[in-house]
Amino acid sequence: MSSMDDLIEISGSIENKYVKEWKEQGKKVIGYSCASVPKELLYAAGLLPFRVRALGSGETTTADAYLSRFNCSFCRSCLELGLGSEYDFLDGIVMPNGCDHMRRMFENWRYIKKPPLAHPLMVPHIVTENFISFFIDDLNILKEKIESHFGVSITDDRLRESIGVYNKVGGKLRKLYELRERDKPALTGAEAMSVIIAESSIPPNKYLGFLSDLLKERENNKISGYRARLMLGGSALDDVELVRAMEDVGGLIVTDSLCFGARAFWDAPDDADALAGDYLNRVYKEDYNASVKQDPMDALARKYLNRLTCPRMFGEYSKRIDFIKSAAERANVDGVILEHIKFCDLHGVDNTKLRIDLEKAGIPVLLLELEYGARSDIGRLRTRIQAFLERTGR
Amino acid sequence: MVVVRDGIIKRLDPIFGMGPRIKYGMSQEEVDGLIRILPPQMKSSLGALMVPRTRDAFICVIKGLQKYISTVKAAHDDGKKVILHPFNFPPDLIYSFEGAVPLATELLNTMGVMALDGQIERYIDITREIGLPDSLCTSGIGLIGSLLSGLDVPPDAIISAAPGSCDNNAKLHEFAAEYMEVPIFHVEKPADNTERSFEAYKNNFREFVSNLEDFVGEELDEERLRDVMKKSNMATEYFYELNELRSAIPCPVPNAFSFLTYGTRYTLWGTDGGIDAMRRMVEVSEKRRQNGYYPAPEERARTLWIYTGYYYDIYGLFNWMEEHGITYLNDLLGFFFPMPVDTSDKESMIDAAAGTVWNYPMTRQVGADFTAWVDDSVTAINELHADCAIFCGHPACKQTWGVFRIVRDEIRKQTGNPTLRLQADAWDKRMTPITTVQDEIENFVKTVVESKKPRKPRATSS
Repeated sequence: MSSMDDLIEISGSIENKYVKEWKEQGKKVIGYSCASVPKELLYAAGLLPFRVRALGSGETTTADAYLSRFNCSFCRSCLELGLGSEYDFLDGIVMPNGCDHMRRMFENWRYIKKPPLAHPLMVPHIVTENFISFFIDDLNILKEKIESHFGVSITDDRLRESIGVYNKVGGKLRKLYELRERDKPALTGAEAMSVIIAESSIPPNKYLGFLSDLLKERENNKISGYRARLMLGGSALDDVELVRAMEDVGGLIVTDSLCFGARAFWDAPDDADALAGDYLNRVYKEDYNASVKQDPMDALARKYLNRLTCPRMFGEYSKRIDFIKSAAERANVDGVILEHIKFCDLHGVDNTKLRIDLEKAGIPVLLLELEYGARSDIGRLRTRIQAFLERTGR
Repeated sequence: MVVVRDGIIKRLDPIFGMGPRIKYGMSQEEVDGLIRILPPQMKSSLGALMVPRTRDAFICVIKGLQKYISTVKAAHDDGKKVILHPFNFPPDLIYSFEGAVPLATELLNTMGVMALDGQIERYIDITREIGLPDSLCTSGIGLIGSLLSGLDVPPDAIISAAPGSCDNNAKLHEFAAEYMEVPIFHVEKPADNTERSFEAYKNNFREFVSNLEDFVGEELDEERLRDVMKKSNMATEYFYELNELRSAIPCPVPNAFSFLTYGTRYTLWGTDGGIDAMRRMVEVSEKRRQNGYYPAPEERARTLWIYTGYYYDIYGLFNWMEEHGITYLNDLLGFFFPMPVDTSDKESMIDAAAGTVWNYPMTRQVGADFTAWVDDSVTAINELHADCAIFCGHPACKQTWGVFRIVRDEIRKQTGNPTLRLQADAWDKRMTPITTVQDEIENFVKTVVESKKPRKPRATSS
């Protein structure tokens, strides 16, 4: 079995065998719901950070009784699983105010399910020194809560070590993206999404092993037979089947701007292995200074707030379009697909402006509004993507 | 292709231009004559608000709004900057600048719904044509569409007070700023109502005021600021008097005064017009209390609307309810808890303004977890002696829909009151006819609210 097969298997289930192994060792797992949660902090406490997603959710009958049909179907699907038994292996949840839907998903989850630990992380929406300090305080509140709840101590050294591990993961993922974005891509978009999903589902040290093997296995792999090179961006999307359906009609997804994708790690140092002992110099390159080096929590707060190329952040539109343009250029794409889940105002509005500006820059764009996991929609999507490929002249 | 010849503000200006010509104490014959010459939509809204029981207070609001709109329209000629802001940012602070004029997105949008033929539909369609999603909130999208069309008074800058409390509002204003290439100032609300969060908020707010001063090109003059805030304080006193009157049974405050109060708050606070409008509303209500007047034979139900009302048919909602014995005590947009501003120095006034924005409706209740919404709803239910709650179910408000079930259950648990969940777009009549809303309210009152009251002993025949 190749590493890719392993990673696909991991991403194809919620409570995978590595989570079970972790739990069998008496260790705890914390669910988090958004790329804005610093998982380094959780891991430094000896906890396994596990990103909550909605794999396998069909009906959302229970969730709809609490959220509503005017709420995002991804959050409804996650809540459905949360209110059922699929996430009973979690020993707590840490969920941020990622968006209004997610905020309310957390509140319902906490109100109904009453997890042993339920922490609402307050991630600022604008990056100023004032709000960076606020976020550092908030991370310290979370740290104290974890320490007291689980009877552990998160030392600065443990935190540094944890940041180092995740920097290595990010560095290797960037290498994987080099293989993905090159002229002869080494993996498909569906495969890449599986790899990324697995990252937030198993212990990072175990994941690093898989990644190292995968990089070797795929180095000489060359995907062919596609009509166009596409980039995929938009709201929370962990639906590998959907990406596969897009690729089945000939559009190979060679890069992305997704939070289950490049947005979750792109700021990682590209030479993380070499920097393992000096990670703080690089966690937030533009703002490195001596005080940052002294305080890993400060570094973590800055890293996360500056990494969030997500429309939940305000006053940073230029950063988001630059992120997409540079990825599109790097991966030499023929077009960009921007999706948003119905009722996601953040991405729905942002995608409108992105389309206008990308098309002005000569990059064809397809906007898709989706319902999460709606298989009945696949036929319509295929048709739209086929039409888009024709529009791009491919 | 949507054809639009003029923007909302430009179309409202001549309609509200009649303001100075409308006199207090008009007879019904004069009102009928005036209504006859108005365009149909304005005829309907004005007809609803010019009924004798609300007439003089409404005339006062019209006069204030006339001045407000004409000031916006003339701002550029007068060398002033137009600052677009959402409803959850107070106009007082902008009035404190010599060189700036406030323009409240949702208020102009609502005036468009109430006064313009075709309401705001064509402006909503402009936003769809640009590509914006159809799930955005219609509370402001009509005015934004009007501004994006390039046919209206262009703002010089935008204040966004919704990051952290409403994605929809914050994103729409950010989009407008990017699209029109005007600067935007963000005032972020952290996601809880703790002292720690308020401190961060205040620091951010001070920074924002300083940035606004730079943009307007004028340092806030302490005396001017004090004058404005003193006027705000006077309006605040009337606000609390009116709120006190609302608790009387039967309610002497006309249903329509709920939205006239917050309409005043969002546009005229800090001006003489704001004081006059609030004073008139208090006078009308006080007189009604003294006379024991109520527009129906009995007050059958006292409803607290825990979100917004509907603004696409004023007569069909507010007047109809009142005439059927159903009181509209207040709604969430009226929960703004103004605090008297400490006018001792500039810093105290700016900090007070920060407190005002922090406690603004929706920012306070939905910019934190559901308990804030529950607490304010329960307090209002108890203080105003409401016997039920109503949720209008405005589809664009994902975050109120997202915890409505919990809020409803908590209201029931903490007050024993039932909550009716409706579903209609508050600003777009195309979704639910007002007659459907009326039927649901009537059925709820008849079968739930009235049935929970102690039954009167049946008359017996001898």
